[in-house]
Amino acid sequence: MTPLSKNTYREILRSPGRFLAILAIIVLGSGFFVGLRVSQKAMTATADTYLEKTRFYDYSVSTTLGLTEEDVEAILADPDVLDAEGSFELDALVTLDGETEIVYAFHSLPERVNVPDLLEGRLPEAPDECLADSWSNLSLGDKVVITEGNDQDTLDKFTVRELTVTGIVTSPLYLNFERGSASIGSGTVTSFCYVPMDCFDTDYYTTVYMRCTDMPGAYTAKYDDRSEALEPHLTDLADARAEARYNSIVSDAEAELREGQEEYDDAYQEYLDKRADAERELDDAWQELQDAKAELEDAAAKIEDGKRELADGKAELAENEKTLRDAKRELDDAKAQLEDAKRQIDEGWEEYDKGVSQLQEERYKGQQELSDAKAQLDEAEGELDAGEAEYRENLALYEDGRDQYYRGLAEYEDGVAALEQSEKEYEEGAAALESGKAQLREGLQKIIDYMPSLAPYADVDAFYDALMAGDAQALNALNTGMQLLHDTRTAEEIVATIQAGEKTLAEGKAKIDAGREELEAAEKTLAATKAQLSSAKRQLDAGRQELDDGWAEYQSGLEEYERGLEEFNTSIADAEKELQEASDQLVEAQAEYDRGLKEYEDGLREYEDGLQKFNDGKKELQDAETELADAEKEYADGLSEYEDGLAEYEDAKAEADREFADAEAELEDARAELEDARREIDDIEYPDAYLLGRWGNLGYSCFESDTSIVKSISSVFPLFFFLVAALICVTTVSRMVEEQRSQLGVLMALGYSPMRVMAKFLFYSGSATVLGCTVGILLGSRVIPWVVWQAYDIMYGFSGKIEYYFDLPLSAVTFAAYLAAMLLVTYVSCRKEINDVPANVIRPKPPKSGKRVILERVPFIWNRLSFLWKVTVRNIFRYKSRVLMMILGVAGCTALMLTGMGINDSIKNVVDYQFTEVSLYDFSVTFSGHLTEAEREEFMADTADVSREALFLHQSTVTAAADRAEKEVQISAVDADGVRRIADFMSFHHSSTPLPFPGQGEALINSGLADDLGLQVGDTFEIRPEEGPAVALTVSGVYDNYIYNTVYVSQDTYPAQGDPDINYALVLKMDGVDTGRALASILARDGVLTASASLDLRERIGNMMESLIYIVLLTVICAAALAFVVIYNLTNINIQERLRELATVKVLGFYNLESALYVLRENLLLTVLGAAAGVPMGIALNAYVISCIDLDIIHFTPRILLPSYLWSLALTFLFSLLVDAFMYTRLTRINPAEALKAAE
Amino acid sequence: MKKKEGSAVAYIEFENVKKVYKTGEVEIEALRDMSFTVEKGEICVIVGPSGAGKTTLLNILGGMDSLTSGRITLDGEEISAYSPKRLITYRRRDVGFVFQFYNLIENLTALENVELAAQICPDPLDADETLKAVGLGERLRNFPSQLSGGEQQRVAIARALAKNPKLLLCDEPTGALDYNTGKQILQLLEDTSRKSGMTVIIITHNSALTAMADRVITVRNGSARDMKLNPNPTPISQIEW
Repeated sequence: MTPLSKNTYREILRSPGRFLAILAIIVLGSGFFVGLRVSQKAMTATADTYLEKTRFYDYSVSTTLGLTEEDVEAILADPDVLDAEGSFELDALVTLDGETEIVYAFHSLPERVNVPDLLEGRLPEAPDECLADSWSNLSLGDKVVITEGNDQDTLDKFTVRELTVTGIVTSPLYLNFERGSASIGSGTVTSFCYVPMDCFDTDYYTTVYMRCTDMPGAYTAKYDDRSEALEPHLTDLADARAEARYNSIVSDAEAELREGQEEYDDAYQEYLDKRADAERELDDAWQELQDAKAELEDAAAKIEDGKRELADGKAELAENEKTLRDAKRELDDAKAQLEDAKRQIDEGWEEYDKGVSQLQEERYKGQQELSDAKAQLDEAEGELDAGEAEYRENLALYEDGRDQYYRGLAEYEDGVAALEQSEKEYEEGAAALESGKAQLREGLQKIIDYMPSLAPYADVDAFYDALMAGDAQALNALNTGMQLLHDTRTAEEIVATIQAGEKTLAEGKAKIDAGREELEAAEKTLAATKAQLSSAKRQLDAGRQELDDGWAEYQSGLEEYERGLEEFNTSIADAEKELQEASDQLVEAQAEYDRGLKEYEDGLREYEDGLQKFNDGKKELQDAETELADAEKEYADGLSEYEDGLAEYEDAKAEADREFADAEAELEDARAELEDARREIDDIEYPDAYLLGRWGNLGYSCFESDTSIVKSISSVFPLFFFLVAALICVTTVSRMVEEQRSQLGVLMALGYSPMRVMAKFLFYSGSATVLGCTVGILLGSRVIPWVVWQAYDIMYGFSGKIEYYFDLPLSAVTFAAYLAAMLLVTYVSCRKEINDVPANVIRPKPPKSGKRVILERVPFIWNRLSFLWKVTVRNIFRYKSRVLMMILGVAGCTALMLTGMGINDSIKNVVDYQFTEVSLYDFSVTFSGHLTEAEREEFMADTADVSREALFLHQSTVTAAADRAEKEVQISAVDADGVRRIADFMSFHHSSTPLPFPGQGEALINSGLADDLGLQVGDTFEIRPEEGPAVALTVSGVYDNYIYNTVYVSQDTYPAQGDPDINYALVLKMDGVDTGRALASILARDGVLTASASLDLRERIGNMMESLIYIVLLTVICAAALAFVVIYNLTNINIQERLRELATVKVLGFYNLESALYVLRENLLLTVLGAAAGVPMGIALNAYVISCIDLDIIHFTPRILLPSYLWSLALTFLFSLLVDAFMYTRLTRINPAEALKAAE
Repeated sequence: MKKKEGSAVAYIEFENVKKVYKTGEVEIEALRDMSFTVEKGEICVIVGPSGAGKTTLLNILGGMDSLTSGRITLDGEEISAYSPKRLITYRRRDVGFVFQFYNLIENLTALENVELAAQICPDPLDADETLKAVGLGERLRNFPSQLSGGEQQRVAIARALAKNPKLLLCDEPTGALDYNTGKQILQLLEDTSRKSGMTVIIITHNSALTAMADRVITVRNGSARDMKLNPNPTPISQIEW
């Protein structure tokens, strides 16, 4: 390894984050692109494998008369047909739990075509065994019961009524969860079920499925080409089978008819013979009956007399009975009244008792309350007394204190007087001393004046001082002086006297001072005592006040208590009085009641006597009645015997007549039947043959449209990732070149060629690309199809595992594109340095100088920014490629999410829009042929219970041709009456402008068709029916429509010749009728070919779109990854580049958050800009993706709903903030001491 | 706090400061038993050869690094006991830093660089005035790259001063400047200290600068070898080297 390549490896290891960012974006970009592209292929490959395994049919043939084994053989003989098998299919009501009826689609178990995939169990071996749908809840051994609720025709087709599940299967005929609709039950097929052919009692097949030779894989253009090529030939084959089927049915029927005619002739002869015998027997019986009749008439007259007598007796009795009933009623009334009175009295007593107990309770409660109040009052009184005692005690204390204070005050005043006395004495003493001193001085002066020889000092003061100091010379002088003055006192004595006087005075002074101090102290003490006393006095007064208040309160409480007591007593007395009154009233009522009861009992006895008499009379009468009845009975017996005879005769006669008539009718019926059969044979309609390709299978075609959504999304991703990857590469390499500028210069100075030096960078980005693409493509090819399959598997559970698919050409192109782009941008990024002279390169590049940005020219905004925002703005615009990378990356993030959610909005709601905004009808019904006016009325009458209104029109498939393109569309021709009413069924509008129905020569076309054919309002196009002349139409309006392409015209426009077949109806459902039932009832009607419910379609497509949420999730994840990589990369580079700046800012004392925001603010601003840019990009992308979803019948209009905008923006900011949060910790770790390091 | 006989506590006080860096198994003792004091309003020059621990000392005094043991006080506050968060606040309010390589924000004009520092302080000086005071009144709106090295360092000084700090720490402030420009910068620092009574600590390996200082601390091998008071500092204009 050369040192240069070592250097490169080290470079990668030195800052792995940077290398990883490039790597990651390439992994993401290539992985998502290849993965999504491959997903569709992997999905179709998985489906193809399954279809091959189960030998899915290519074409199916069915005729309205069914098909037989002969037909199968004939089809098999065709050279284009690889295999063919007949299948019998029948929908029937079944029950699994014995209660609920659901619709099952029964299929005869095929052996060669559309073979179900057995997941569990075994194939059925007996007619009462079946294979169950894996989507159903059935498990092995469960029973499926065909209910009696099916019509007889259906029941007749089954040889068994109960089936046992022996295996669980998936069927290629039902790729997705959709099980189709039925003309019975709820109208929806719940599940399918495979049974052996001998479970059915049938001699024909409903469908023959065939597999053709040389068919390419499913969902390929080649398959479409091949099947298109085969179609005309197979259509002929189907028609030939229909003809053969017709011929065989007709000849069978004619043979049967001949047999029937012979049988009829024999039966007629037999009838004539039997009739003659019967008529003879009847005549004999009639004669016998006439005799019996005369006897009976005599007996009848006698009975009539007895009856009259009896009637008189009865009338009398009835009179008596009425009188008794009246009496009885009166008594009953009296009794009821008495009972009422009794009840009232009882109630009165009860109430009285209640009153008494209530009173007692009240009295008790009142007493309780009052005694509580009293106790409280007593307590208060006690408290007050205690307060009084305390107060008195405190008062005494206070008074003691006061006395003491006064005593102290007197003492103090005495002290003051004594002190004054002492001071006076002191002053007297001082005066005496002073005069003594003066005398001495005088003497001394005299000595000085008169005896200077004696005086050792000339100055009196000095002499005096010396004397006082005990100077011997001075003493002598004084003594001598004294002697001379004849004073007997010695100098020593005088001095001692003065000194003693001074001492005494000083002592007196000290004593006075001490006395004064003492007095001052006493004064302070007294003042303090006085203050204490006055505060104590205040407290005492306050205590007194409190006590007085307490007494007043107590007094008022006491008064209240007494008032309460009085009130209580009064109310109790009142209540007692009331109770007494009530009791008196009750006693009186009781007495009255007793009197009434007695009266009642007397009346009752009287009544009972009358009743006894009446009953006796009645008994007599009954006896007479019995006698008469016996006579009557005898007569009646006779009469009935006669009548029986007569009836017997008549019955016999009638029976004979009926039998003759029946026989005649039977014979007539038989004749009519023969006649009908003859007519029926003539009427057997020539059968229609239907040839259907795989597209006729709902699951197969749904799968195609679902996979095309995945494909269209894959077209969005590469763009962003590619651009962002390139930009990340540019910024990273530029940064590296900048960092290693001097190193490059050194290498170049050492003599390495520019290419060798550049190779380092090329290797850097190249290795990231090679590694990234390899990982991305390999990972993407496996992970993404897997994820997508997980989503789709929910709807299509035919294979748990997707077949992985490695698309080598796609991978190679992706790989090459990334590598080329990366190497190119690397070259461009370092071209300038490499081509410079080494001397320039080796010198450090002057730091990129600060520049004013355009925004500064807008002082309105600029002046409002804080410095930190100014730095941010200037930094952002310093490196254009970084801004671009960041904005594009973030915009991509927003746009991808917006697209993902927009797809969801556009697709998921399209059905809602269609059926709430455009198609207002509930059902569309296709009839097998033209409906006359009468038949239409009959249809309306038959379905009156489910359909409210219907619009009959003509609809057929035609080719619409414009200059640019042509397309198969439906044309709907509406008659004049329909034009007036169509607004209830279809809402024609463009945006929200309503469109009028077209006039003659004009047509309304749907927006999807207008796009496809490039038509605008006023353009002309041509309608080419399969038969008949083409019609030129002018577009009068383009109406918003999402599902199907339909051209609306009036009937005077199309068809050009003759009257149109009215074969189509739009139906509005009766309110409150279940849609499924209504659909089943419409489908069950003769002449209805197909009918579909808007609601069904809505639900079906709605379900199909459920998996879109995974697509949205995928884009969100993808967008998040994009945002992470971009923001991480930018922040990473920013941090590395501005390490010193950040450290300086930290030295300046920015807190962690402030210094982090110093860098992260850029992210925030760029996120805002990017997100803002992402919105229009997302709108455009969404429109593009939606236009890529190429489904023939559904036309999607790009729509993005408000929540999607909000979510996209919110998530973008969230992702950005997450990276910021991650980077924050890195920023806090920057050491401020870095600022001290020398520049690189 | 240990009181010294007869004098109040010094403005800045290093007491037995020790700083050990650990790099894996290796322990490097950057400062060992460093003790010195500086009084308020002084210009203090710290000299010593490379690797003597000058920068470590500055880092620790500037609140950018923690110490291993010992204590540092500034104006009676014990910096060595501060939490990391409190240290940031300390840097923010009390310390002005002048770097060898100016460390101006390239993307901000001279005025904005000063304002950047001023706006995070509680009691800043007017940025405009400060720049005028350092003699850059005419170049307020220039970006750093449009200024000479000396001018850039003046902006850096203005940025430090505008925070109105207690302490101005200068790390080889003339290291990247030519003789005359360096002299002008030192003159500016001297004037600042003399006029406003700012405590200025200059770290340098140029011992000629010791003449301008009130106090010279010689650092060697991670400890203060010598602390000399200079009662009559020589004005910088008279120093030649």
